[in-house]
Amino acid sequence: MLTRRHLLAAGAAFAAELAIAGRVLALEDAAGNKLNLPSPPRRIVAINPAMVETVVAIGALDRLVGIGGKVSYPEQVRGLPSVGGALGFSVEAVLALDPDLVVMAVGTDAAAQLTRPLSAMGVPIFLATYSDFASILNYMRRLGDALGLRDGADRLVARMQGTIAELASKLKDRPRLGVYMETGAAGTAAFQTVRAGHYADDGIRLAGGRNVFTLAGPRQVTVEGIADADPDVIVVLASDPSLKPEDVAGRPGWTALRAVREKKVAVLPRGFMLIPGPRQAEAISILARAIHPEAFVP
Amino acid sequence: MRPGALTLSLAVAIALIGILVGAMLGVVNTGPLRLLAALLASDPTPDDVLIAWRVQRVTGAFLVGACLAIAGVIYQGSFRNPLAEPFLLGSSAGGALGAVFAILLPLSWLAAVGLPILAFVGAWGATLLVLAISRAARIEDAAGMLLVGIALAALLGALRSTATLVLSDESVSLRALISWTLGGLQSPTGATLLVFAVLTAVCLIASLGLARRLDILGFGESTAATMGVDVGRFLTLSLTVAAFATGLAVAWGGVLAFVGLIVPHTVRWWIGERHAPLLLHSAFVGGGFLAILDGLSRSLLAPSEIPLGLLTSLIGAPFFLLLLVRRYR
Repeated sequence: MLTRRHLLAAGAAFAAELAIAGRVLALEDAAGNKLNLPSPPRRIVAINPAMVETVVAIGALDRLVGIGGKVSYPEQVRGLPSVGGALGFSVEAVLALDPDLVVMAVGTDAAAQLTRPLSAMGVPIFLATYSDFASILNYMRRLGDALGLRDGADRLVARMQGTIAELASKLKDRPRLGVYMETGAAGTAAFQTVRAGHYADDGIRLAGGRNVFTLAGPRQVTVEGIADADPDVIVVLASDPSLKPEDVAGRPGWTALRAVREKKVAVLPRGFMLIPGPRQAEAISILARAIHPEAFVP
Repeated sequence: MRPGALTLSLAVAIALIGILVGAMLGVVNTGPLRLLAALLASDPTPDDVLIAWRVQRVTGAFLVGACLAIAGVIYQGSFRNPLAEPFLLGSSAGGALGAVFAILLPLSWLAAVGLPILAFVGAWGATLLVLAISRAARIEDAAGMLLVGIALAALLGALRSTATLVLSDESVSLRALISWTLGGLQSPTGATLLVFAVLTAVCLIASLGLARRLDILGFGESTAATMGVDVGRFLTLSLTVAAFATGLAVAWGGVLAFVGLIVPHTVRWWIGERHAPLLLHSAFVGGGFLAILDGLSRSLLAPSEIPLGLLTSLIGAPFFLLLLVRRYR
């Protein structure tokens, strides 16, 4: 029996063929920096949360025709068709939306699965590469160029830089505090942390802190390693919204940490803090409030 | 060497030295007297707290190693196969599925139940399921159970991958999950550690109760049957005990491949095939081995922690090969 799903799949395949036959597009390099689009793209599929947020923030919400399955912000994109994501991405679902630009981040599942087939089909791809904070601003400007919305991108970047500058003036008389930032844990073990070169490491610096673990340093530490680094402040990025600083302080052996004894433990939402998009400046100011709460007392 | 008071004292010595060395190693190495002082301190300083944490963690590592070694001996004896290991009948697949839910689902009631309990339920549950399916299908031989185990492990592995893909997004750390599957030694403290120790002792005693029939089974299933062993029922019993030990190890140590293989074989070469002494010696040696490796995992690249499973294979495999080459030459 033909179900609705079968019909949709057949429609997707048909649309895919149309997309290939109907237009001839110049092949692009996948790095995103030499993107020669014939005209500003009108039908954009953006896949990773940071990419969707950036497309919207630089003013192209009305051109967005599809998003990745795990995107839930901003509100306005929620009704848009999904091209998959939970169990992998569908080339056909992307092609069915007839996009003239697909925006993805390098190193993600989406880029790994979609770049080759979409390139082969002649669909232009914008691949954002980023590591530190500056490179996030850089991909935003380049995406602005690609969309013909450089002004919007410049305004977004200026707004983010403004937030950072405001922070800097608030924090200028504050000591630079040592910070241990935890990005993951398995039960009471396998504590993951950030290294230099990651935008979260920049975030710590811009928030008036100093990552206690350095470039050649660890990615997984024990409570002993943290105690040896002796952070002034502990910031735990957690997926569990009910996790409290007391829960962190109650981990076995953690009372040995000075920051725990001085109650300098903050728990922040991981999903918000680790999205390398337009809200990163806001994430950094939230981090600054966790590191230097006294600087924000009115 | 024939097992006796001498070999058992040696095994206990290996265990004690293992715990001691493991506890001495860390970001800052600690002398034995300092360890004692920290444990006995009435008003512990932060350093004392840290050292006490380390001693408890090493004790946990010891118990995990003992459980894996016990389970390894039982599996190898039950299946009469030297390649059998504790994760054979779906324990690691089941444990990992439990861990995925514990790590990826941001639910507070789940956090209260905790990673160890979910991992234990997954690891033990998977093997019990294998046994139940085997019973229902009237599969009573080891080879048949093995196939049921492989099929169930594949199913649970697929479920785990599905859950990982569906549940993971920016809000969770997949690295923590991967690290757990490479051996995620939890830090049991106080009463929890005591419960863990008691359960490990129960496993050891239960396994000693199986020892004579494991010896008989070594002559083959048909011979064992003529000697009065109901092979099907015995396998269910022995594998239930082995799976319980494996579940305990997974709950507190994550998935640690290889320990349950290397320790029983090394001990077998040392003291021979009889199961009662083999179980006893393996438990002590396996515990001491893992306690030392835990110390190394915390100190080799300090302040980094090397996932324990990497060390069991990186250090354990060449060591095992060396013994193997010497034995066969």
